[in-house]
Amino acid sequence: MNSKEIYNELKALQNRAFSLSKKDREFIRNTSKLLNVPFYPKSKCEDCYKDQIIILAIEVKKSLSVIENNSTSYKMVNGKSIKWRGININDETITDEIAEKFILNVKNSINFIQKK
Amino acid sequence: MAFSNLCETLLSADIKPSCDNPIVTGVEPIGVIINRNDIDFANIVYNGTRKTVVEDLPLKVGKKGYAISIPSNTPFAGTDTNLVAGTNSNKFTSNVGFVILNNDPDVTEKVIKGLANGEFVVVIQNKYNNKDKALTPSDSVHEIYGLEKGLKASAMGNDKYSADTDGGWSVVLTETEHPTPAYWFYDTNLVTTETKFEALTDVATS
Repeated sequence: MNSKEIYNELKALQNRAFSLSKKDREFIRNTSKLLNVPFYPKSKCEDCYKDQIIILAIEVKKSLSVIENNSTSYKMVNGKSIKWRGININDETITDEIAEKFILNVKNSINFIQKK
Repeated sequence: MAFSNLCETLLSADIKPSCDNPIVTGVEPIGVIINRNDIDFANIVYNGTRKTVVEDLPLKVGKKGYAISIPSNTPFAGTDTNLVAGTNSNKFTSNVGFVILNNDPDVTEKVIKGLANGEFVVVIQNKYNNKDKALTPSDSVHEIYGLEKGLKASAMGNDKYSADTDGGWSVVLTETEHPTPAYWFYDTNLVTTETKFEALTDVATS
């Protein structure tokens, strides 16, 4: 399975997070190991698997966005997603123009956007 | 053809307590009050997916927020948010209550007079800290009041024999009928957010 396939599977799991099968849970545990993301589900923790799906999706998305968006010399700090002046800015939507405008106007821009 | 409800808002999560971090009452004794006009609204940064989470609250150049320090057992007593039934949609009214344990010419001229007539945004720190929450730990701590319509003074008084104020001033600021139940101040984690919270009282330089 490549990153894109893992990401698509995680997105599918998000939609059925309230009724995960044994196989789904196994996939989450194995993917956690594969991506080296810590996962220690408690025996009665209903939300642990749901939370882990989101954590894994974010992890995989980081590697995807680096591959997908090569048109800009900027990236989001820790893969953040923000809304500023009505524009959603994330690793997929960021452009040089948006990044430079943001840096010019937002005092704490360094917390959100950085040079690649 | 099916018609969808405009601005439809539906319940989208389970209603249940946090077992790892049970909720607790109370507010920390330090808050920050900002003249609403001093906020650089055009450049507020919101979280991309959670639209009531403010990640950056910039002030206009040369402006600053002011600390509210309340060395009391019940700081910010009277702070609450309640539903108000409306004709077309229900809204919320929020109050921020605090005492000013001081009274002299500077207090009445620089603080009381301003509070009586201004419009404000207040950031408080809840004692409830959901530190074990996955992805966004401690996002329950810093809460913003007055961001939508502004807080205005609804009650102020100076009772010389009040045990609650020790003879100082009691103040209630109110934001009436705002549509969003709460706004939160949070960026990445508690350490980053606290740094930004403390920086609200620095003079904005750019």
